[in-house]
Amino acid sequence: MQDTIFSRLRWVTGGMALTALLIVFQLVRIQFGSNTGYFRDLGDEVSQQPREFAPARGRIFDRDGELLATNDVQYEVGINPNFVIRPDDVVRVLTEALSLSESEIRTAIDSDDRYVLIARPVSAEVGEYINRAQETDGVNISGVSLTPIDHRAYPGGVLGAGTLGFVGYNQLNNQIGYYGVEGFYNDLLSGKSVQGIQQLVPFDTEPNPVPAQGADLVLTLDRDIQFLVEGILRDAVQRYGAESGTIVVMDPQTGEILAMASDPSFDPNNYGAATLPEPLNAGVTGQYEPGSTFKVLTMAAALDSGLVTPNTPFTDNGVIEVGGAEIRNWDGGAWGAVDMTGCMRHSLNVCMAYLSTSMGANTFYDYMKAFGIGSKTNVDLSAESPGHLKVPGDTDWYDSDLGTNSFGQGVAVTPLQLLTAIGAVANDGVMMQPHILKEVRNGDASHTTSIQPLGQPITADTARTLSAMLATSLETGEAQDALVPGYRIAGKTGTASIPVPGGYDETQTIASFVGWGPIDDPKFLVLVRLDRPSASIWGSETAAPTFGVLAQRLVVLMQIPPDDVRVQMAATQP
Amino acid sequence: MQQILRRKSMLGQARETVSRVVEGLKDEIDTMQMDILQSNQVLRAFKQAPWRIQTQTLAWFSILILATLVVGGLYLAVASRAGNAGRDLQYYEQQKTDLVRENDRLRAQLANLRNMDHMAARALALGFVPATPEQVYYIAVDDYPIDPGPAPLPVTVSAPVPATADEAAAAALVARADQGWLTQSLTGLYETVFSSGEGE
Repeated sequence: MQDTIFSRLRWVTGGMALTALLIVFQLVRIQFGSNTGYFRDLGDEVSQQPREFAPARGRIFDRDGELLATNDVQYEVGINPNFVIRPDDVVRVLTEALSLSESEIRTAIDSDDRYVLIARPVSAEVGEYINRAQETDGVNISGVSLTPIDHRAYPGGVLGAGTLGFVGYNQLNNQIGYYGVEGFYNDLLSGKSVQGIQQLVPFDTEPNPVPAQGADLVLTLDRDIQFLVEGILRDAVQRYGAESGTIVVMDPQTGEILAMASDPSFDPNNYGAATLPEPLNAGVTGQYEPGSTFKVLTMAAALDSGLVTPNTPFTDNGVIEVGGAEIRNWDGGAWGAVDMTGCMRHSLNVCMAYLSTSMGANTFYDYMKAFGIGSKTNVDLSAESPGHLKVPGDTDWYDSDLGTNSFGQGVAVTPLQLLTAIGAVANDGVMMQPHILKEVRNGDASHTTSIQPLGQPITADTARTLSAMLATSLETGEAQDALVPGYRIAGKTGTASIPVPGGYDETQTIASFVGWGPIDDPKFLVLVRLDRPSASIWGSETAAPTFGVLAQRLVVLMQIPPDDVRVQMAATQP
Repeated sequence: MQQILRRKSMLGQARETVSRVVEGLKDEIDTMQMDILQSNQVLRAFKQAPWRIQTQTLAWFSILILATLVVGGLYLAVASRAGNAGRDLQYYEQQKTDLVRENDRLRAQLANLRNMDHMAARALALGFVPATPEQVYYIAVDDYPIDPGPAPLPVTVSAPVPATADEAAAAALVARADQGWLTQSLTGLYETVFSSGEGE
């Protein structure tokens, strides 16, 4: 009997020893055998996870440090049906937190899938509500998964939306900036992500790699002015029954863009909710035939080239032939004897065509090129259009274009391009580079952009002379709604026909106004554009009053004293 | 015949000599065998008892087990501390992420409360109205330093286009605009901005 037991024990012991030996052999084979790589990879799959460590996207501030774009958190809510213990609790909490029906939640809980997406994205408040429910005694919502998602937030909502752009997600679920500042400075804002390995086994855990943070941008935009501009533009579009509108405000002495607004606009917090306006940022993308506002440049060229002076007489017969085409005034009338100031005051097409033909095509187009017409301004905003300027030698240029171009027909510009060019008249002949970036900050490092002249297409004398002519013509012309009591303002209205196949739309126009002030020390340069206003087709009756309303508020917001006070203040300076 | 007899005699002497040598060797072998036998008797006399050998084996085995346990214990202690440190690290990384998110959320909340719509509505509710230029009074104060305005412009502007400007002059101005001020302005910016973030 005893022998049998000992015999069995020996067998069991032998068996165990053999098993242990096999295990050791297998371990050695796994560790050092030919399939080492395979087993190591298999282990790594479980113990570590390749991951992209993305930095927080940089924030965007206005020139006074007010937040225009920042980062927020949203959540993805899902259910892992296998881990749901108390379905009733899950249904109650999720139906309270989300606008979903009980049956939808129950269908997800009963699903055979490992994970069912319930809602994405949901707000931080909803996420917090679910989080609190998870920690509440007596409530068990195990199986509910709450995953944080990085989200771009625009505290101002539609404020500056077209200029800021928005942030979406690419196929890899990374944040990408589109349009405006977000698009143009995407590389700066997004920083540099780092590819790394996230160790799930605590023994191997290492500190996460630190990616280069996205830089914060300080813009030249002024939030208060932007808010004012958007409100006035919205009101003007409604008041005059326009399809859309654009206002750009710039500092002509620095090229800083203080405000840029388009209507209709969109909410970048929820850009997918509605159809995005086209173009998204008409200030730099929406090219159009400028009409009479372009006459400022024609007159600048004529004065600067020495062809005329403000008092040069001109007899308007009401028609002039250029290249076989008859050019008439906006009202079809003949204004008789006028001087150059009168030409601007009455916005005479015939006078402008006379000037351009007298200068000759070479001189006229040289000046237009010097003003940057037909070229991008290289402003730091996405999707800028170059406009279009036909010149002699181009297949689509005809002799008659020399006449029509002089009053802004047959030439396409963007609002910012025209504003930049006319900025030379406001700023003693020096055309400044338009820009929207004021400063870049990243930790201790910072970079301030410098103001940059683009060129000097006309002399300072020409610029001052033309400014005074435009101020006078505004004070005595049809667009006196643009004036601001106490301040000398210069400006020019525009009523541009809209090109259609085979000619121009006779019933609809683009009404615009370009103005600046105070003319002896200009602090603001504004372009107002209203597309297809139905209340009146004329710029003097729509865009000019809009400018006037805006300018009256601008001088207060920008703390610009009236002219007489400034003279008095200058006299008291030591 | 004499020679034969002499040789026989020499042969006999040789035999005797050999016999003596062999005898001597035999004696020597016997002596060695005796020595060997005596030595065996000494070994047998000092051989350990079997229980002592087992004890010694057990002792060595115990020492080995003990050493293994000590080394294993130390390894476990170190591994446990490494594991704890790893868990702490994971916890702190998660906490850092959560705090950054919370900070972002609060910052966004604050910005929402300060947005222009809210501020304008509050100002109107408090009875404020937008000021008109006529309602603003500026007072000239003697010797009060005022903002000198923007810095003088750089002097790198181009000359004005003369009345007889040719294509080249205009092209130069256009080229200036097309140079890409931003490219120039941002030269080195990326390096400057991101240099502090790298290598952290």
